[in-house]
Amino acid sequence: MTLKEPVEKFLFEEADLLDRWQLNDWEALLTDDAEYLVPPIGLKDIEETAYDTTLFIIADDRAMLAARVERMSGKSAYCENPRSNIRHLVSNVRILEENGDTLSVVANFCIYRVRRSQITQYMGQYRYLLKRDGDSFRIRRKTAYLDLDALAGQGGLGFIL
Amino acid sequence: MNAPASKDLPSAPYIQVDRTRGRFLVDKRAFMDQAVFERERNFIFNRCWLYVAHESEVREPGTFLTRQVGGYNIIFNKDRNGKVNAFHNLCTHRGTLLTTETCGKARVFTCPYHGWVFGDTGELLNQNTTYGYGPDFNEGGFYNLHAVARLEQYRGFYFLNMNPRAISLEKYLADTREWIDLIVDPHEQGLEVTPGAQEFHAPCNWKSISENQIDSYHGISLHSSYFQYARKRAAESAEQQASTYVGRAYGFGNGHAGFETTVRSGKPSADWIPAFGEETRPLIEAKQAELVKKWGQERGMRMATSNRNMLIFPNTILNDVMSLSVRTSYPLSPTTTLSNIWNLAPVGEDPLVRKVRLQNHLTFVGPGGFAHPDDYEMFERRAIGDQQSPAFMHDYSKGMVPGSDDDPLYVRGDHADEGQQRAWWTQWDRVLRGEETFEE
Repeated sequence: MTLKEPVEKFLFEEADLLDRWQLNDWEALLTDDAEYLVPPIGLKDIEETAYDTTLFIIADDRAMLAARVERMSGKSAYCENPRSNIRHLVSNVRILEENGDTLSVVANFCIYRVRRSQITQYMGQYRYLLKRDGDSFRIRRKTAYLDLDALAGQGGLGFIL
Repeated sequence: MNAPASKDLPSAPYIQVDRTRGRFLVDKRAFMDQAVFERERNFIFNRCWLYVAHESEVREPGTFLTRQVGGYNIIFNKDRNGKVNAFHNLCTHRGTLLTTETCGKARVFTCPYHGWVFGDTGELLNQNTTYGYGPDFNEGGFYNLHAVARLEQYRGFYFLNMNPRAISLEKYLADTREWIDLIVDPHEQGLEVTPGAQEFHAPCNWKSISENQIDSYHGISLHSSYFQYARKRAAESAEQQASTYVGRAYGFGNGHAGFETTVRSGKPSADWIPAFGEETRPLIEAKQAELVKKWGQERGMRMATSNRNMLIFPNTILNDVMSLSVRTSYPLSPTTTLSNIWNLAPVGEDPLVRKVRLQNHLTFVGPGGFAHPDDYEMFERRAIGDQQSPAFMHDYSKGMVPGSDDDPLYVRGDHADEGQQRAWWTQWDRVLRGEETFEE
């Protein structure tokens, strides 16, 4: 079995949890020092770690991620109450580097979001740092580079990319 | 369902004030009519001072950026002589959009269509041809890039005005200058915009976004999940938080208004909270002590710990809260808005503090924040409501004292009342009717 199969299985299962809004189960996939990053639109090739000097759209450390999951799981996150229908399509998965128990993985994504009969698409590229965890993995860092040139309509990024 | 399709403003006013009952109402047509949108363009966006950019964005000569300001595409640059300019971003030959870059360095701007070349001072340098034009063709700079009528700055914030007869920026800003000074004075090396603007289009009227930013009333309801999180970050009890969520609202004249509270969400410059981490604590506490020493207990602590939300008429937000940001909202149509948020930080700031500053901003602000997405949802629900209901008046009455004849433009009231919005709307109404033109 190649390494690609378990990596793909992991990413597809992660997408499934997000599509079904199983945010606590999704949080269980994270390492204790996990980060979730959405770099700013319009700055190309920006370093994933540049969130300490550049304003990202999202730059969650583990504590903020816990707060995000808690907030989005409650009823008072009105941007997603009622929740949008979300569908993550993940493809073009490539393992760029394997370094000890850490894998650097890229994948393309297209997310369809349906809200009030409007369909919005969010496409771009994921960059993952995955840590081996038994037969599977955990997410050390998830970066979602959006290809959009503007965030147009349909509110903010309350759902997880 | 039947919005009036008239080109002219209806004779009925958009704002209805019932002083006896304490009611202040704004007609929903103000948020959706094409006639209002066109009138706003001519009477508001062509007459008011509009925010363009901060001085830090064009530090080096030859640096430029492009922005949409008040319905115009603008090139904002510092030219080879060190002069800061705002030009219409169009070739003077056929009106083609001259540059499509959002920012960069350029000594010349070349239109690809026929090859006209303009210097960074706006001067037409050549037309890519050796014949066909007389020697006096560009006499008086007729074909140079069109500079906007007026460009002025206050404390590093550049505003433009399309009206050559407009009052000065300083006069226009009226009493907001006191609050701008409170923002700029603490930082001896000045402020800079951090890279990475937050930009989004919202399916609502620009006024919904603008006035929401000085609406303190909605905070504890709509943003309850944020305030719960802020409490954790500050390690405060619900009672402690409630006791500090107090403050005042102000009208600054000319329609500018804002509010100030002491609720603790942490201020990276000079109000440390546990979520910032122990390593930043000595730096941030030292800054607070320095401010008190330099500016006195009252003004120093006000700079360090108070939160200020300010709306400079018509659409510039300057917020000194969990982060320092400048924001604009421009209408693309009656029901679509282009919003931008720029984060400001002190020049020379310690990298650790800069990091917590950016994170503290993201706890609340922007498309991925813990508060703004819920605001966008409300803007959209308002817009849907306006489309559906046959007649509707938006209410802004909270805090109105029945029978009072105080000047609404200089309101003083509780932060969670709606006097600050009434100040803004009163001016909007005066400007739209041509009663206030901001001319000498």
